[in-house]
Amino acid sequence: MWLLLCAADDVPALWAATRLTARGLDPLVVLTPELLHYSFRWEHRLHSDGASSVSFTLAGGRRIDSAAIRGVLNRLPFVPPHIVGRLVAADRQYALQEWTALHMSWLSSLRAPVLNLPVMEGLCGAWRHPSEWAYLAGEAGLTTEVYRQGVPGGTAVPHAATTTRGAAMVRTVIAIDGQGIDEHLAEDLCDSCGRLGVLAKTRLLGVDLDARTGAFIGASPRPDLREGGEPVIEALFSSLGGRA
Amino acid sequence: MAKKTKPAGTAQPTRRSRPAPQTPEIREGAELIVVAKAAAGLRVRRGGAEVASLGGANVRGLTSVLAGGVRFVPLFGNEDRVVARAAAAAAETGRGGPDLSVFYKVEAPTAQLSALARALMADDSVEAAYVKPAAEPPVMNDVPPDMNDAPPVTPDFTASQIYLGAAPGGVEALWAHTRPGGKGDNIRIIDIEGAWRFSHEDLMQVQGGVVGGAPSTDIGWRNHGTAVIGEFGGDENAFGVTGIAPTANTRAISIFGPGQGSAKAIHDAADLLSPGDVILIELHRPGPRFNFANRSDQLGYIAVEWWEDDWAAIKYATNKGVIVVEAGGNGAENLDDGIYSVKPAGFPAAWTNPFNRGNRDSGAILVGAGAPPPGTHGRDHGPDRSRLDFSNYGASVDTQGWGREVTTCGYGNLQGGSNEDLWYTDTFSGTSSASPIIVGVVASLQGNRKAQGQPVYTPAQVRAKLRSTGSTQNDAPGRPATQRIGNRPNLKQLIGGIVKPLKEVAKDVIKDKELKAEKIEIKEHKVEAKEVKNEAKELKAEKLEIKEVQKEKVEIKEIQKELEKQFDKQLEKRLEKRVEKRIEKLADGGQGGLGGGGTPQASALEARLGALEAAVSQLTHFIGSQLRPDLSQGALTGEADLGGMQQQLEGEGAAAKWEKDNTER
Repeated sequence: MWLLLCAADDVPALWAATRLTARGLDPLVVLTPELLHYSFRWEHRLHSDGASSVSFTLAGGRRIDSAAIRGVLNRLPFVPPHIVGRLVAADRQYALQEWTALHMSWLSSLRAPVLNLPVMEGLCGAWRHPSEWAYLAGEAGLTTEVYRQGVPGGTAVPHAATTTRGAAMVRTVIAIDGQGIDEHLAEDLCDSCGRLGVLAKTRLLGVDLDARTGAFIGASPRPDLREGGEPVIEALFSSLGGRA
Repeated sequence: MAKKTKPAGTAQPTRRSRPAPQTPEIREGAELIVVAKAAAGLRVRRGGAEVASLGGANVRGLTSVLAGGVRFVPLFGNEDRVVARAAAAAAETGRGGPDLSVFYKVEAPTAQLSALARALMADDSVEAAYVKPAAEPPVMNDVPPDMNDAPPVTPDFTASQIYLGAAPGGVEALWAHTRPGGKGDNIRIIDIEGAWRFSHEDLMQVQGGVVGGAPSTDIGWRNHGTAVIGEFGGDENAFGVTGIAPTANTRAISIFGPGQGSAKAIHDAADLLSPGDVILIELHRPGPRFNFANRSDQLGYIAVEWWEDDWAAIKYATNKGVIVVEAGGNGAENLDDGIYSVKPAGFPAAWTNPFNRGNRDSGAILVGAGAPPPGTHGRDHGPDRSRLDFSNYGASVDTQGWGREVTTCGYGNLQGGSNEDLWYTDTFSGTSSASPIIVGVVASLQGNRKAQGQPVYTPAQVRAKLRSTGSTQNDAPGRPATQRIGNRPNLKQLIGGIVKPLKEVAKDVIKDKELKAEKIEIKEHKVEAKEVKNEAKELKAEKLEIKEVQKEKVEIKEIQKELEKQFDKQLEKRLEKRVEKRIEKLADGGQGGLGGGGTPQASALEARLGALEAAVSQLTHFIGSQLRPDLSQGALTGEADLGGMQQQLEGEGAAAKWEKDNTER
């Protein structure tokens, strides 16, 4: 079984789910944070030899074992606070941290491919400061805008003002496993987007470029997958261990 | 150069912690490489016995080191020639490359190399001085030959070469052989390693022999080179094996001999080849995992591009457009491990880990070793296309070939005897056996491009194609596909279905001749037909316009009627109200009245009504029907009902919450 972790209103994820299922990623189970967190039972075992196993029973009795999972498309950026809304206020922060830890441990322990693995900076891949993205994009060979930031005592220049995001037509290139996927984009730009994914240690990354100049605008580990169309689905299918 | 046999499918390399650094034992074949500071402008004189500096640097320290019979040899040849060649190459390709004129090799007894490296690092003109451990062939089997003499005629072993066959087990080489140029026509390959048996009965047809270095006399190297060449260059005949690209021209350069080394061999090969041709690097070296020590189990061995001089030579080749296929190494290493980003002592200050292509990219295609289909030759090495336990892996590994059970020339355990020219094996292994498969695939692909009159693919294009096509890597227990070795190539996908099989092309040629005369006639008719068609088109367009105008008229009339109706209703209501008010006023004894028809108020009302009617008749749509989208042909046609899915998921979530809340209370 393959898992898609996403919010119920994550339309790009639902779109990908229909496409991946049609391609043969079957069964593909869509799990929302609500289904996960209101499940009846979680069992996370860490064995002395370093192996681990996780199983949980969803409301309604459906059981999911880590051993049966063949791949995960993970689009949960964080544990949504509303799921701890029924706790007393003093416990909510603590409960959220526990849930986050459980998510990280669970997904990191899977032997199956997970796009993206959770890290400290985000449950579906690192969310970085624009300055970090700009630096990494430069390292990856992408053209970047001059990045300016205010210094204490100086005049703060918000990042948005220094980039073209506000005015530019944005073209999103999806990079999967170090490969920029956009057959209509120049090969070197595609390669650079792929490299950015590698540098960011993020297997699935959306790279926003200025459609006119190709300059780097931003990046996200939770991109709109529809931007990449069928080639992205094909790459996802392959990276998630699907077999044609 | 003897290597220990590793029983098939049994070895599980154990993970280990990094051992304490210590000076490794330096084996024969190690190389001391010096990288000079570019500003020093070093120039070697008197055959490497003297050094001068064009940049006026103090080279006395260097000279004193060289005093004891040590030779300082420009690694890639005379410095001025290297500079001139690089400039010419840059002008031709439009790409600069690493400065190869600053690399030197120090020729001295192996035991002195480490001490010399330390002494050289103290010199102002020296940027880096490091000892490269001896390179080895990345093979996992070194089997003894069968002692029985070969039969008078060698049997046909091609049925055992499953890697030639259909995907996903094979690379579709037999299919590619039916495509124009798909046997590697007009492509040249140079294999870089230690020795070969070019007098082998199955390597006679399209080979150019050894063109550089001095082949080793070691039979291990010789068997290795022979087996490698057999995979892509085995002759097309009724016996033995057939290569993946049997018509490609095959040559070899040895890493041994005076002034020779792996980097020089790569560089010399690049100079002998043209864009689209292929270099194969059949070497790997002990890396930092075990302090660069040569070991019989090859654990910790990595691809050669990690060393600066080899990287520079590969970059030189790929900048020229030559495809470089490089064995990924048998060290069972994760090449993404942080250990490979730690710069060793003696490396250039600007060195960065090339396995992280975000740092820099040699342009080579790195090859991992995957398991053949279970049951091949009656053995099982795990799921097909899963990583073999010894294969290095990581993000930089581009593609995989068979790492076990490869049937090819050499070794003599499939057919042996006293005559080495008749030896065959069906157990050639390692990233050694995987890499020649990729070379054959690339030669077939490029041969097909040339045959079609298309430009050959660049190294980056070939790599991208290999990464984006092929049969995907599988999981194996303890070796998940996340330990990347890439896909097994599929020539059907790489070449694509654009080209017709040779038979069809031949038929087409005959048909072409027959049809030529008819075509001229048809052409004339076509011109006439075109004119008639154009006229018809124009008429059609006119008709459509008329129809649309008529449609618009009907629509406008309908809207007009609707508006009129609404207006009438409102007017009626307002009039009724006014009349009621007037009646009330009259009843109260007020002025004005309804009697006498044709009062001034009534005629004004009529005039206003007429004006309004005229205004309504002028109303048009601001988006005409011809400009409105046809929603039946929209982009969302056939799209899944994501809204429905969303609602269902929200419902499931709410139900889960309800169940949880009610169960826990």
